[in-house]
Amino acid sequence: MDVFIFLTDIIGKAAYSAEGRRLGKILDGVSDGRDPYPRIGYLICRRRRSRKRVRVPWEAVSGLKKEGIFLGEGAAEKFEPFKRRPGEVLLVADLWDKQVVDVNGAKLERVNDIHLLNTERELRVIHVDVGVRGILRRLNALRLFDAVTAWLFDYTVKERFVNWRFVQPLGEQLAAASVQLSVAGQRLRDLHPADLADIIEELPLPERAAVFAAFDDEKAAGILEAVNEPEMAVDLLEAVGEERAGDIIEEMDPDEAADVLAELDENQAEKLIGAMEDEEHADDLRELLAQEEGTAGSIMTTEYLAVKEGDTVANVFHRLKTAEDVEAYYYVYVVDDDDVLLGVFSLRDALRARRTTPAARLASERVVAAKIDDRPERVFELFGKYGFAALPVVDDDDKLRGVVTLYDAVAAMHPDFEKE
Amino acid sequence: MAFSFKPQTWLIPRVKGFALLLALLGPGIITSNVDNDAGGIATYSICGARFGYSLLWSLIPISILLIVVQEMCFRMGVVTGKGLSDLIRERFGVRITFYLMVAVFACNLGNVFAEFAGIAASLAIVGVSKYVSVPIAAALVWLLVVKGNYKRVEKIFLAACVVYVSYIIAGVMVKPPWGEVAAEVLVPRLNWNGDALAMLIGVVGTTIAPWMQFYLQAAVVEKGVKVSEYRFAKWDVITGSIGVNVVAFFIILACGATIFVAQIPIETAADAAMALRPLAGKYASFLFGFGLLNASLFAASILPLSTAFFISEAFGWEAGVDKKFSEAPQFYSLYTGTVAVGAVAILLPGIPLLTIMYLSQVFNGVVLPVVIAFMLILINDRRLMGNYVNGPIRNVVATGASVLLAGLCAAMVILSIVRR
Repeated sequence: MDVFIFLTDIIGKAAYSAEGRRLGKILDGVSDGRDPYPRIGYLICRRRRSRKRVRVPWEAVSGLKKEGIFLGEGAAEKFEPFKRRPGEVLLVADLWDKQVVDVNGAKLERVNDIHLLNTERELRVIHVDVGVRGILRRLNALRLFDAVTAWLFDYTVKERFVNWRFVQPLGEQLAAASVQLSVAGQRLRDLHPADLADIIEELPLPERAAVFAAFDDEKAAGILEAVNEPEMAVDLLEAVGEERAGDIIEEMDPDEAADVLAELDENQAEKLIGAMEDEEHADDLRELLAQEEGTAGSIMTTEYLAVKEGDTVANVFHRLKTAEDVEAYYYVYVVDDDDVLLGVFSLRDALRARRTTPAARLASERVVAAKIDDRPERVFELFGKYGFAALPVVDDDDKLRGVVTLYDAVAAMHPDFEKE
Repeated sequence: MAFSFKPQTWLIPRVKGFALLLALLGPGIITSNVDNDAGGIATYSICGARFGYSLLWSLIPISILLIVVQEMCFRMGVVTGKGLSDLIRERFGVRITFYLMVAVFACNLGNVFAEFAGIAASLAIVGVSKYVSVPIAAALVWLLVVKGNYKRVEKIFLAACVVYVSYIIAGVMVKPPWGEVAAEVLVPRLNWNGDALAMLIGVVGTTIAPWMQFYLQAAVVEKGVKVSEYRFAKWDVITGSIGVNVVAFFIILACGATIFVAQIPIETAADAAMALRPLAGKYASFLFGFGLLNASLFAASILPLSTAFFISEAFGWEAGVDKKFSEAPQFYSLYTGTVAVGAVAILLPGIPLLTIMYLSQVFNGVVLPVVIAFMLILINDRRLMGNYVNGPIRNVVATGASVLLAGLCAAMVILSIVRR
C-alpha cells in the first residue's frame, strides 16, 4: 500500500471479503474530526443486495488494490449499520466538492480531492486538494494530461494542497461546532474581522449565518463593522436571534451600529437599543440614529474623550486606560459643565506634560470644529486644510456632540474606500 | 446536511410593500429581455416567415414552462444562496459536472456566435462590413464589462428594449386575419418533418435557453433576495416570462403576415426586417437593425461573463471582474476566450449569419431537457430546499415538458437522417 493515497482511490471502489466475495461499494469515509490530522475510523459501505449502509472499521481493511478494497478474515460478519454520530465528519458528504475556508490564505476554496496518509494501520486526513490536478484525478484524466503537458511544454502542473490544520469546513451542521473546537476554527477566530467579513460575504446565506453565529459577541461585532453593506449586516443579525443581536450591537462602535440600526424599522431599532444594559451607550445610539443623513452628525462617533478644565493629565490617562472604547483617541477635548467645547489637546501634548498639569493649561483655545449639520464635503475640506486626524462636531450652542475621524470622512466621500 | 429552513423574520427592514417590490424587480425582467437576443429575434422571425402562424400555439405551453422553470431557479437561488452550477457540483460531483459544463459551454458558445452574428447582420444593413463591426463590438463589450461600468450601461440596453413594441404595432397595423390566428393559437398542430421539428425545438430553446437559468439564479443570489421577500420577488420572474412571449408572439405574427404571406425566402437580416414595413415603411430596416444591434450587444455583454462565472463556480476558481487577472486567471481566460472565439468565428468569410443565429437556438433546445432534469433533482431534495421543494403540479409540468422535448429532439434527429 502506498503511504500517501487520495480519497479518489477509495471512494466508489468495490469491497471484497477475505474470500474474494463482493460485499458492496464504498461510499464515504468517516472521521471523528478531532486530532490535528483526524483519523478515518470507518468507511461507509453500501451492501450489495440489501443496499443498506454499514460501517466498515478501517482496521478491517487488509488491502487497497486497483480492483477494490479487500477486508480481513471475518470482517464481513461484524458490520454495524451506519448512522451518523454527533461530531463525525463525512469526507464525501461534508467535504468533497464542497467549499471550505483556507484560514491560512483567508479565502474560500473548493475541495477537489482529499490527500490521506496511510501508515501503521491508520488512515489520516493530511491535505485537501484544491488544484486542477485534483479535478483531473477525479476525471481519470490526470495521467493523460501530464503526458500531454510534459510532451508539449516540458511542464507538469503543480499540486495545490491546503494543510488540514488550515481547513475550516462550512457545512451547516459542522460550521458551528468546528469553528469553536477545531484547530482551524481557532485560526479562523484569530483572523482580522475585516478578513472574516470578506469570507463571510462570499458564503451562501444559510452557511453565512451559521458561521457568523459561531463567533463570540466581540468578534461578531468586529465582523459587522467590516461588512460593506448594512443590509447584509441586518441579515446576519437576523440569523443570530434577538437576544444576541442586542449584545452584538452593544459591542459595536456606535457610529457603525447606528448605520446598521438605521436599516431597521424604527420600533425594532428602539427595542434593540432599549434592551441595552449601558444607558449612556444606548443614548449615544439614539442620538446618532436621529442625525440626518448626509451631515457631519451622521458620520460622527460618540466614542471620544472629553474632560473638564480642572482635570489633570493624570486624570486623562486614567480615563483613557479605563474607558471601554475610545474610537477617536488621538485628541482630548476640554468642555465646560454644559458640554460647550472650550479647547483641545493631543495625546502627545499630554504625554509631554507633567501629570499634575490641568487640562485648561494644555488646551489650545482656537478649536477647529465642524457643525453638526455640515455636509460631509465640508468636513472633508476641513481635514484637507488643517491635516487633523479627527475633528470635533458641535451644535449651534457650541456643545460638543461627537467626533468625525479622518477614516469616517474619507469613507463618507468615497463609498468604495471601505470595500478595499 | 439536514437543512430545516425557518424563515426568521423578527427583524423588519425599513422598506415595505410596494417599495420592496420595486427594489426586488430586476433579475427576472433583465433575464427576459436578454432572452430576446439575436438568436431569439432570428428564430422567431424565421418561424413566422417559413411557417406562418402554424407554430403560434407553441408559445402558450412555452410560456407556462418558462414560468415554471424560471421560478424554480429563482426559488433555488433564494433558498440555498448558491448558483446552479455550485449546487450541481455539490450534489453530483466533479465528473458529471464536468460533462454538463462541457455541454452547456458548447451551447453558450453557439449563443455567443449568434450574438456576434447579430451585430454583424444589423450593422450590415447600414453598410458596415462585419470585418469592421465585429472586432470593434467585441473589444467594446470586453472593455465595458472588465474596465467600464456595465451596470450603468445595462439600464440603457434595457430601455432600448422598448423597440420591441414596434413589432406589436406592426403586427396590429398589418391587420392579420385574427380568426385564423386565434384558431392556430388554440389548436396545436405539427407537421412531422425534420424542418418543422427543428423549428419548434428552436423556438423552445431560444425562449427557455439553458444559459438563462444559470444567469438568473446567479443574479438572484447576487441580489441576495431573502425567503421572506420571495413572495413579492417571484412576480418579477412571472411578469418577465409573459413579456418575452408577448414579444415573441408579435414577431412571429408580423413575419407571418408579411414575409410568409408574400412567400419570400428569408436569408438575411434585411429580409427579416420586412416584417416592420407596415409600421416603418422604408425605414423598417433601420428599426429592425437597431433592435437587433441592441439585443445582440446586451446579450453579448451578459452571456460570456455569465458563462465564465458559472464554470469558474463549478470548478472552484475565483471569479468576478473586481478581481485581478492574477487572482482569477481561469475566469478571465474563459471570459476573454469566449468573446474572442465568438467574434473570430463570425469573421469567417461567407458564414451564413441568420442560419447561425437560428441553429444555435436549436442546440439550446437539445441541451435544455438535460438542464431541467438536473434542476428537478435538486429542487426536490429536501435536505437542500427544506419546505421549498417543488409541488406536484410544477414537477409534472417540468418533467412532462422535458420528456416531451427530449422526444422531439430524438424525433428530429431520426427524421432528418431518414430523409437523407
